Amino acid sequence: MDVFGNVLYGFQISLQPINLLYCFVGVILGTLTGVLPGLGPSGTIAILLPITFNAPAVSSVIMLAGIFYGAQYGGSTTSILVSIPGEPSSIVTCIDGHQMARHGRAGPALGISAFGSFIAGTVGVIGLMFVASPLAKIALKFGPPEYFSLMVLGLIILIYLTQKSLIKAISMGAFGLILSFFGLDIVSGQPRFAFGLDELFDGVGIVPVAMGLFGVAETLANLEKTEEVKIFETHIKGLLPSRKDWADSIWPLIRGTTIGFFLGILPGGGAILSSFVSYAVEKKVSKHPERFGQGTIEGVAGPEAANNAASSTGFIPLLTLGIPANVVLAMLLAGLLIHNITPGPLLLKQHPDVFWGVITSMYTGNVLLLVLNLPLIGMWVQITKLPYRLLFPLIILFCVIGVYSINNAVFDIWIMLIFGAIGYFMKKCDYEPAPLTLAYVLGPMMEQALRQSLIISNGSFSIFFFRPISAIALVVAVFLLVTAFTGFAKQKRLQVVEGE
Amino acid sequence: MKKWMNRISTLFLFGFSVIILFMSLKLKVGSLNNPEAGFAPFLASLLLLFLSAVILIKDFLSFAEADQKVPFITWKNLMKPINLMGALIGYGLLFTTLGYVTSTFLLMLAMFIIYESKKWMHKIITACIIAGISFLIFDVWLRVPLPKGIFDFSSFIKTWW
Repeated sequence: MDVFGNVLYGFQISLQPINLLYCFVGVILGTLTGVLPGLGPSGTIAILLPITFNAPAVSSVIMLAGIFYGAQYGGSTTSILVSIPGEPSSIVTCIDGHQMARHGRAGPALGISAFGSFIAGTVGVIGLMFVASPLAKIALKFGPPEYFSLMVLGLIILIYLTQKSLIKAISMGAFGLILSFFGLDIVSGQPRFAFGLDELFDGVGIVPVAMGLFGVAETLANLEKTEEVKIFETHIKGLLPSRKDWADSIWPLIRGTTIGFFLGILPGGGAILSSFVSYAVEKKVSKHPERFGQGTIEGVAGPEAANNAASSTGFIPLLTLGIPANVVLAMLLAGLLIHNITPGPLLLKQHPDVFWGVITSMYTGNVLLLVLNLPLIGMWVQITKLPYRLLFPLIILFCVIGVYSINNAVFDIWIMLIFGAIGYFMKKCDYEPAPLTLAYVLGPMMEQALRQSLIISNGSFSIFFFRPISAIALVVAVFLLVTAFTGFAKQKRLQVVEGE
Repeated sequence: MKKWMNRISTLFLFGFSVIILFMSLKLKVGSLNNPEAGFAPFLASLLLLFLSAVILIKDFLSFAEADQKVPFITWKNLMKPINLMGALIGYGLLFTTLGYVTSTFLLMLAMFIIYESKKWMHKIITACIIAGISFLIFDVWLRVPLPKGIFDFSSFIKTWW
């Protein structure tokens, strides 16, 4: 079957009423999580994972994917109106988007953000359709060393992008790897680190860990804040950008989409990195760089297009190699594994319904988001005013029931609470939870690939350096670590954020 | 305070890595051409041990003057998270004994009180509604077998529904 035949097949699946419903619920929840600061897509996916146990696999993944890219849309609303990024990938949008709102141009800022997101998201999905299938075929030739090195690269890119201490981020990665080794050994079946507890024979579940780190820990951290978030009061009018706005935005949209498309493919890259790079590029190529930070529409169009294109193409390494590009996609990987679906080069052969169904649902989801977001912008603004005193008990309740419902075991609630407390205190001490979660998800695959590689090479680590793809991935990883330790990358990123 | 919190959290990682390191050795690390169950955990714990030692040494050597300028956390701010953790621990302990409906009602009430302690009647009614509706959604519709406990309000809710 050619690509068009596959796309038609995908639409047959994604346009089924049940899958449309799941897609609709996903994008609505995603937008909601993007709009609400304090509840990210990782937390939402973690909370919803147990609910998807009894749902069909394709529908579940369509919904979880909808949450991911829907959050990119929603995140821009709070960035523009409140100057609080609902999502890390919307940090850059705060700079010019909020200034536009302050100058009475909230409407065009929200409008170009929605249209830009739609265009970029659609281009990303189309690219995904054409790239994913050939890449999956190439990936069939990958052996354990390639997989191991690509996973190391993915982890290093995520660590490289952390905003706080680099050494602490690597520590959290190592901590996550260790946690992933709890349970039965993949080769011998020998129990590891069970500490005499029967419940630990299966390891520490990803859902309690993720809910603890993202749901409970975030709630604990948010409870500390005494001040209420002030919404910038403005009358939102003219959501459709003017001809001049379009003329100013068209090239930033094209450049942002291109940047997002390619950076999204990188394992570990994705929406955050691409939005920063897009903003830096727009500032560099602009005839009026001094306008950046003052409320220029190019500063909104480029990064918003970039983060949405990247969130679509981020699915390429996940679906073709089984390597999640970021922590949200790691949660999605967990969702696939729960349904006994292993993403990777064989996914296309074994589960074409999941592969093409999810990809085409992203196109449907992007249309739904555009249709929903513009007319409902007033409702999303009202939701940003939802008092936290009502929101946090509901988040906690969903976490508790979600965790309990996996095995009907109170033990999982305890695990969640332990990781909630760990996550809270670690966050206070600049230890970020994202590397831990990604390492936790990648850990078993990394261990298997490492052990297989060493057995193949008869105990020689040179196997990782004599195979070209593996060697390139490791060299890039080392390069990133060196630049990160020298502080060059951090300085550059701070310059972009501060608009220097 | 941040300095101490930093040290405690890093010491936790250090201690954890030491425990895992010894347990990995006990599991058998194997050799490079035949890695065994303890191999990967051994490498990961060695890395964590090294990094946490570096963080600790850096922390002891630095004077952390910058930290002291920014107020890290006050007891007033810390009270709400501590109370919430306390409420959640109580919930975990009472969940099966009291049953889902009663324990969730108490947890909701506790969380409302943690945030602000006014309008008691309003809070009690809201906690009742949330406990009841969430039971209906998860137990009745989504078929999650939630514990009934000694006060079996669940049958009352089902009958009423």
